[in-house]
Amino acid sequence: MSPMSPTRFTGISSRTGIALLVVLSGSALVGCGKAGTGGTAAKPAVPTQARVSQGCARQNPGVGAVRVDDARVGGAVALARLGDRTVAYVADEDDSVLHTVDLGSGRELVTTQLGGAPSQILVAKDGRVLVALRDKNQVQVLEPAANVELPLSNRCAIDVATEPVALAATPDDGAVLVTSGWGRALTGLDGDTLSKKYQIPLAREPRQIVVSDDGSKAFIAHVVGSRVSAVDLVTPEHPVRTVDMSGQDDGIFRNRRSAAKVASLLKGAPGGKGSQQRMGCQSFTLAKSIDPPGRIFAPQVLVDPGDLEQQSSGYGDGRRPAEVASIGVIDEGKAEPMPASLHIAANEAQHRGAAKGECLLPRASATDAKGKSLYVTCLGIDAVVEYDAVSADPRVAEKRRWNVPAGPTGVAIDAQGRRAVVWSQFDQVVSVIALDGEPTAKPTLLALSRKARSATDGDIALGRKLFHAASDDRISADGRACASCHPDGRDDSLTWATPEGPRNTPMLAGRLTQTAPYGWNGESDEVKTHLTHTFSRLQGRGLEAREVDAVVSFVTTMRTPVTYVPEAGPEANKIARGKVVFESAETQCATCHHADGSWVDGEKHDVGTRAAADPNNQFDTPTLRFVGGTAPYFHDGRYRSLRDLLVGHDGKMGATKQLSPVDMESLEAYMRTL
Amino acid sequence: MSAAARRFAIAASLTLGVVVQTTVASAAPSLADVPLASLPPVPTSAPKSVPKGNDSPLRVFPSANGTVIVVHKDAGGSQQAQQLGGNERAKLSTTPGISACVGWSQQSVAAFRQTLLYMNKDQSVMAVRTEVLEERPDGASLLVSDFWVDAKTTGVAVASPTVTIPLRRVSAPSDAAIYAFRTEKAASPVPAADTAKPGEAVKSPDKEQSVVLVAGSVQGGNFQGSSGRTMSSQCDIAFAEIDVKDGAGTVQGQVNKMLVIEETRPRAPDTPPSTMPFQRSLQISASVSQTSRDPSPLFSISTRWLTDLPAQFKMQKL
Repeated sequence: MSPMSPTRFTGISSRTGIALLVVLSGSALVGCGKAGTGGTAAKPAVPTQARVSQGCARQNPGVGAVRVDDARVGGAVALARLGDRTVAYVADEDDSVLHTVDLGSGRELVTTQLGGAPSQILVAKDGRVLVALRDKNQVQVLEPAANVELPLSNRCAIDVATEPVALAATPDDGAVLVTSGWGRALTGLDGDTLSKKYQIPLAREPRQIVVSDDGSKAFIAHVVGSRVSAVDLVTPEHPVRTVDMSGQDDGIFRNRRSAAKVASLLKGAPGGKGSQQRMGCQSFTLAKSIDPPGRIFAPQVLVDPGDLEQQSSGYGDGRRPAEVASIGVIDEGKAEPMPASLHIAANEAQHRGAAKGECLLPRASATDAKGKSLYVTCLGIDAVVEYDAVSADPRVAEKRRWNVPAGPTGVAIDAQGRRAVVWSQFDQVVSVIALDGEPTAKPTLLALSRKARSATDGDIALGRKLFHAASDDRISADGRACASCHPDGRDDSLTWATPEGPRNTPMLAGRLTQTAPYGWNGESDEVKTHLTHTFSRLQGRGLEAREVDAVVSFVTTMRTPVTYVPEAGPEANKIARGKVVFESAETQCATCHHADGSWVDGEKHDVGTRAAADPNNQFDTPTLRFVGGTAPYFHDGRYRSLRDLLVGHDGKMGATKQLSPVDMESLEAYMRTL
Repeated sequence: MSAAARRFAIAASLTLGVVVQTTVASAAPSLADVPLASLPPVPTSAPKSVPKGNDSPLRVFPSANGTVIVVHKDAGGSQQAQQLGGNERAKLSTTPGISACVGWSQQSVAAFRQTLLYMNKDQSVMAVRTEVLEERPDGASLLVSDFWVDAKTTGVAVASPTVTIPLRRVSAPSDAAIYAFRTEKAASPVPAADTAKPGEAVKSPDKEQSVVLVAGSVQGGNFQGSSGRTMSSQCDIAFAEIDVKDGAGTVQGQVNKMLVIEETRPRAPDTPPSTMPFQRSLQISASVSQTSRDPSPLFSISTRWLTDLPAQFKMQKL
């Protein structure tokens, strides 16, 4: 809640530029759009510095809608009830608004302008609505009016680590938990005052939070790294335990040397056990079973990136599907996965109903106690899939599925109303699914208002859909989407077997402008050429030229993390020292990584990193934009952290391992700001 | 399969349907609710020969290639037609509510695996096990019987009394009937209490459990368990077995369910709806699991139709 310290924001997305200028001018965060259309009134509820100082408490306690079914897990959709009216609050990331939708009448009641792009909503015990603003590094606190048809009013905004993406409350409502994706942190807020109690570091790309029934542990999904974090909420130090979400595939057979190589490259990763392991990825969401209790579901995919000792014909070695949908089941009491949920039998494909499109991009989930079902929204196939929540392996126990409009990123269950409410961000439509309806019944669709000039219009909108298109044979033969390896436009933290040898997936968001050529060997002068090459590598039929242009439009404007850099104090001094070290003749970092914002020289170099399966020893200088959040490093992912790279490299690529501890730390701190 | 076993032939039919999911069901009883059953031991001491007689539920037919075909009198119609040819079909009856399997069609289910391995010295007399699924409004049973079948004389003799296994319906009432029973046997010995390390909990002797799913009125089924074991059924009854290891196990697959479907088009008063047989693929997924908070293992099953019905038809009540 404290006023922001002097900061320098970094973030180069054209979509965030306007907002950044506003911040840098010293003004309060001002809503960046006008009222929504479609007959609803959008009124600003913008967090301002003045309101922050007034505190986050309710001004009119006891009035307005309250949360439904004691839901304590955030989502892009959250339900609230006022009398006999049930409303859905919907987080619209494109328009930076909160929609209020009356589920009874199927009518959008009002929109509330937010201070930034919302990722999740949580309705607190007293009816306050907390919204994580991922591009503002804040949680905005809103208060409902007595009349649900009025916009919510702003109470305050709370500073949290970079890119808040998920919210949850503890069972006693004593704390609100916030995960920050790029900031790799869990922030604990007091449940009443919302003052910051603690912040603890996490592994890369944390997302959804669920808290155990006894409040002793928070389980946190991670988009990459084959893990779920189990955070001890009782011990003051809040130790974090890694729950290994890698899978076992009985159908993968590799020789001992290859297995050893894979294990070596995966050293330090929780799943690095051998060649039959598949790595968990795309774990954006978690859901907790209510009946039976004690089960936490982790929809994800299990990835086999192929034999890194061999040159493959594509991305992965093609003998088995590179990515298989998975729903890990975690025993809440033991904080361990149930092995049956992460096991793939050797020839199971022969015994499953033919895939109608696997859920390779799960994004949101919720459970229904009465039906003992798990509902998962799937980008790419634009579907909601219902699974048996009692199964030891829900992945193979699909019960129903519904097609919904493009981009389903949120789902909430109204147990009393027997319906699932799904938000499709790309099409900006709410779908209401009758849980007890006929199996073939279609969802009721409610198109919400949208701004005249949305953040995602025209070609960018088309490009976003194509980027996430799974089970589209124009993109790939095996169902993979662009977003499969580049979740949220970033990277999967994996190294893949390719025809050019092992290749570490690069982050795309914010890294494609002025950084040509593209590809680890610098084989493509344009993004478009490289995209076409990638589709071919995936054995996709290919897109039309206009569609490729649309994908290029999207990938070159994707939302980037908006980090802030202190301009005064010890950390600022450390960063300043790191800049000097970076640009020094001693380290020679800036010789190839030009400090012009591109951090490239457009050249290829032999830096002595050729791996056994590499036919080429010349590698394109990669950009260092966002380098602090994209581990592992090098084309084959050989270094698991920046420090490993700076200390472990042999000197053919700059000279850093001789640096003093202070300079080493400073250099690393500086690189994390790029 | 031995040369002798090949003398008995049971035809298989497995037609994979068009994949269109249309419906759903699930249920989750405790595993303890699934009845425990002991399967009868397979018969031993085969007679040298069995004279031909008439009083048997089995029909034994010599076939053109010197083998014999053994068919239960209650076996389903379409299968008989394939096995016996059109002219033979009339000789056999099909009783509503009864599904039957003969011989090794279910041999991949562990409980029945040894069925055909007991025979007399010259391998002309073999033990043949039959399973008959009786589905009644108030429940269902599996009747297991063993016979000696003489390939030379085509004679059939009862080898042991019929054992009735109680079944519990585990699928939802509105969906295709699937039943289950469980079996158990002693697991590997566990360390005695005096060999346990200090502070180490002493496990009570466990039993290896398995759950056998039973679905009638089908034309073949195809399953795989989490243990990697594959199972196929090629008769009126599909069996699938979940091997429960460390408190968990799964099985998944599909059966081709034989249904009667009824036309829904408007018709003249007093005109009965037209019906026709229809084969529909049903995906089945079942599992046993237990978390640290479950007092006992939970059994779960979900089903999903993979084929749509023809337009303007509905299923008759299952």
